[in-house]
Amino acid sequence: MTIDIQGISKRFGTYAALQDINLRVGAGELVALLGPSGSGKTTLLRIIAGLETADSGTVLFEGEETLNRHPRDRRVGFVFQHYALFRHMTVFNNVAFGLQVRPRGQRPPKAEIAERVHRLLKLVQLDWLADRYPNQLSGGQRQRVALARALAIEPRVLLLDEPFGALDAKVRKELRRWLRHLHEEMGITSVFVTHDQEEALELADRVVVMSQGRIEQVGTPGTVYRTPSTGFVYEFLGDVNRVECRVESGQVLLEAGGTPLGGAADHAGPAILYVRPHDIELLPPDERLGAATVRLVHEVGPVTRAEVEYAGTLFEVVLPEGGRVPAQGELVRLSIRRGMLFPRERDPGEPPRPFLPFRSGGPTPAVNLGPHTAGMG
Amino acid sequence: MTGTAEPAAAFLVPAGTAGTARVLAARGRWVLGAWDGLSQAVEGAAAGLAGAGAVRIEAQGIEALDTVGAIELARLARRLEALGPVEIAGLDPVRQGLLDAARKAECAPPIGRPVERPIIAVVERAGRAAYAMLDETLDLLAFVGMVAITLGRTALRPARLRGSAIIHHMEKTGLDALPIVGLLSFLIGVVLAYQGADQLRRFGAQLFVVNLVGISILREIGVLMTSIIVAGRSGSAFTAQIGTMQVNQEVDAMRTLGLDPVEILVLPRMIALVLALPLLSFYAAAMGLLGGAAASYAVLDVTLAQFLRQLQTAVPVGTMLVGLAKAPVFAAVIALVGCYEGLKVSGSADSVGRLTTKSVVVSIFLVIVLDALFSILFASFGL
Repeated sequence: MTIDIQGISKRFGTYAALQDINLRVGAGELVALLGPSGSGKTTLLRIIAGLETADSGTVLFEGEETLNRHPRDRRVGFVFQHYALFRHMTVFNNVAFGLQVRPRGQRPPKAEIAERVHRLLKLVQLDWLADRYPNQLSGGQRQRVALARALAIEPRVLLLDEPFGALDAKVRKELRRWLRHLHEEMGITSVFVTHDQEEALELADRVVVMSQGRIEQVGTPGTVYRTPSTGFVYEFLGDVNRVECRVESGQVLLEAGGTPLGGAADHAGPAILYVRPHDIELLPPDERLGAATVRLVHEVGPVTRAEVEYAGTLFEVVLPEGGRVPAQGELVRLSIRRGMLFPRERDPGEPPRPFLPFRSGGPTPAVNLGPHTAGMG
Repeated sequence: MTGTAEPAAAFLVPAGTAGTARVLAARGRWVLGAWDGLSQAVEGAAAGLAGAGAVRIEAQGIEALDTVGAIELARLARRLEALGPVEIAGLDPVRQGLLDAARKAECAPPIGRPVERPIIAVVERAGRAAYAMLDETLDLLAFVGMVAITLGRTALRPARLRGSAIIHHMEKTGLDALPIVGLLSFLIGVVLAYQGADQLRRFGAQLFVVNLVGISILREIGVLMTSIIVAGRSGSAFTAQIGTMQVNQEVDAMRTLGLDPVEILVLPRMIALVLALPLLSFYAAAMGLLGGAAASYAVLDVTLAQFLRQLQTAVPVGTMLVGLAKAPVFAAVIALVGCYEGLKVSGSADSVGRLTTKSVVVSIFLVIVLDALFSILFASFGL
């Protein structure tokens, strides 16, 4: 079951919630819509489900127009962030409801409904809770009941709106893994919305990063993490240092102060350098390159992070495991091993430039550093 | 981070004179983190240079300058300008730009006093309210149409209607309302008879109190009181129930299961109330008459037998039917308004409360307006 989203736009008053969204979800794929709140991801999901109507554009299921079809014929399973279970019904009836109220011709016989509901409750490992009411269940259990209810109508498409958003971190992780298994088992085309990048990267076959009603990038988790196509994606996926700088005659200089950081090919002018904290190395100080000061060191579980001030700019650094941990106030040398340069003014679609680090270890930089250090060398 | 520990004195240091001007050297990191020290330094320098005349600030020594630093520098310049010419030297173009921006921003923008035109404001408010009411009315009418279509479709396949839901709502809106409706109607009957007897006794027409109580209760007050109580009891409950489901996204969940919320939520409630309200009104009228009879006996010594005989002669059956004929219409209005407001709930729980209040007000308003229209209609038919 493929989903084709073509040119969907939606406005709420003067606010453009979605602007010309085009996306294709392949059969059996698990796709994550990832973005901050207000990026339009939930609106898009609700339009796919038929809970909201688009101002323009169409949604095709298996090449078939759906926008003016009754939700019943769409056969879409929807899981809500806050479960949305029917509170006055038992777990069994919640799951069975979608089948029980079908018109007589399409309604399976009672015994078959009961059998199917119990099979689904077994699948979500909650068969023993069939007679309970939703308010007697924990959050994780409720969400699994909601999933069973969504699956009861034998959906062709499963849509999940921040399914783990209201759960605590541990349950969330467990349920995430479980959902991944379930998806592999059932193979239903699924789209889920999340603002948690870790969740999206771990769970999805493909990630759609959204911002302000537009799609920023679509790709596998590895692609979007390793080669973000916009600064927004860089910042949204994982921690990153955003450094204002400018490129002059092949070298990258800090915007404030003009300290050289490294080299860059084929660009000149103001740019923004993105560096992941684990792509920065702290080395023994080197007087010719200017020293950086360790301002703050804190350990979070296995990870040690440091804030290092270099030429008036703060860099967040993740220290390698097992390495020496510098003391606060210690002088070090900052070495940027990898990064990406986004020219300040660029055409949409123009690719970012790679950042060329100074040759590691050696005191001689990979590119000529120009007058600033040449005199000292 | 840095700077916070730096003493205030380190930021501005007197550096002798240049010609007639006193020279101040600015140093250190003029940034947000150092604001405490900066503002002290500025105050101190301004106080120390009182009566100095021309001042020159040498700013080469500033290591870092952010917006806060620039604002402080601008503040210092303004303080000293009151005393004599001030020159700030040694800023690179970027920092100079920042300082210029800070100096420009320092003067407060003129705030226009809003022009008060109370009469125009009143007219504007009335106009907006009228338009809002028009929108609301059209919306409600659209909803009525939608329910009518669903009702028509369901009438063709009555098996789709869920009998258990209708019975459940009849119990909630009808049976459970018996005590309060009964008591209030009884008391109204007592009050009517008592007040009527007081007036009629002056003309020696005590027995006509039966006519008064009979006609007013059977024709108007019985059904009107019941409708108002039910609007407050059940109309608000409909809004609250459906509204809570809406907040909880249960209504959305129904849609995704392919169910029509109007069919599942609205129809059973409306049908239940349309069936229950006439019964409730009949019961209310009976209780009202009983109250009237009790008061008549107490005040006028009219026995129950006399009361009933007089009632038979004074009030034709048609009067009661005219009264009860209104009940299903009122019931439909109360249920429709209650469900409409409930489905209009969006987002947060506080809109449930607001719309519940509104649903009661609107349905009582509509019931009384309709009652007046019915009076005109029946009068023109000569009933």
